[in-house]
Amino acid sequence: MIREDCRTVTLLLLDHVYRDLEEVWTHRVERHLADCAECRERHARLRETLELVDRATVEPEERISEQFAATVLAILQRRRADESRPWLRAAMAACLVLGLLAPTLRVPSLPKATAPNPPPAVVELQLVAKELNDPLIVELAWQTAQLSARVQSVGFRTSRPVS
Amino acid sequence: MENPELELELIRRAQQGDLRAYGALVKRYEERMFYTAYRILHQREDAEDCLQETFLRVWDRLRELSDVRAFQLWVYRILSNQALDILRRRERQREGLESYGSEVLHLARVSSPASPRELLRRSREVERIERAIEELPPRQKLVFVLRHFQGLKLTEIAEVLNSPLGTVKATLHNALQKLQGSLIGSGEVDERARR
Repeated sequence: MIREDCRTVTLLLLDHVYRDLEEVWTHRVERHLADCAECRERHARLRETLELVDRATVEPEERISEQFAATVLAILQRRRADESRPWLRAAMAACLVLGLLAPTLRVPSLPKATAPNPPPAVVELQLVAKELNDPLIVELAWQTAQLSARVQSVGFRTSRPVS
Repeated sequence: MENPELELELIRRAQQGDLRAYGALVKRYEERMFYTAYRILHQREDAEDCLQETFLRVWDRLRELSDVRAFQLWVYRILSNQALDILRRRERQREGLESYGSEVLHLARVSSPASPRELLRRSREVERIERAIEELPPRQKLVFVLRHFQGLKLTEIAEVLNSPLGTVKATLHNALQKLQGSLIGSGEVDERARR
């Protein structure tokens, strides 16, 4: 049969081990531990467990990468740059649509893209790509310039003949 | 923490959109938070991903923080939620793996430590203890790590997890019972006391 005191002390053992108890309660628990072998054993086992844990895990061997904070800031800066150019998303979406539509355009074998004057939006996109140094945007800008050059050089005809 | 006034100033400036101040804050907190994440997740990549997501979210929601003195607990809260998400995702993946047989499951469980070299360096005991912590249910592990390694008080953990103090206490108690069972045998004595 477990005494009422034991029940109370069992609930307080954790706080005692972690030194979270007020002084009055600390004394009370310690007085009980001096008298009660079972609670003493529970207390000892708890301490033993925590000491084992401490022995094994004093210091993690892994370290955070030195560039961590810089990476977080770079992401935030890029996001901020994106937010300050709301048209960029629209331009990228337009590029994507053009890219998807490209196979449906009847474009004969084409010369290399050497368009003398790409449209201003494409020029702007290329500048942004250079500034952001983002491989995806650089690729998009390049594709757009290519597409623009092709369209300029061969005209823009749909694959279906107009009846 | 050194110079708390400076830290409060950094938080206020970051709230006004100062990215450099926020960078300084991230620097101050990254190591402590990384260890918390690492102790919960046991994988460096997951810990860094968790931390990155945490600091991006902290930035996004920084203006919502009305009491700047509560910054640390607030960061812990966001980190804890992220870490719990990752642990739950892993559990789901583990459940998925179970259908492919116990061998695959075993591999998934033992694959957490970083490298074979590191594994070799660890003594059996260290590995056994780390495994015992790793196998705690997500919430128990989180509470245990916050209390034992980060030194948060139970009232602070209750605040971080937005849970009643009694629940947090019971969670920690259960975590320790499980650890005790794995490390030094079953907690028969304790069970009798709780009956």
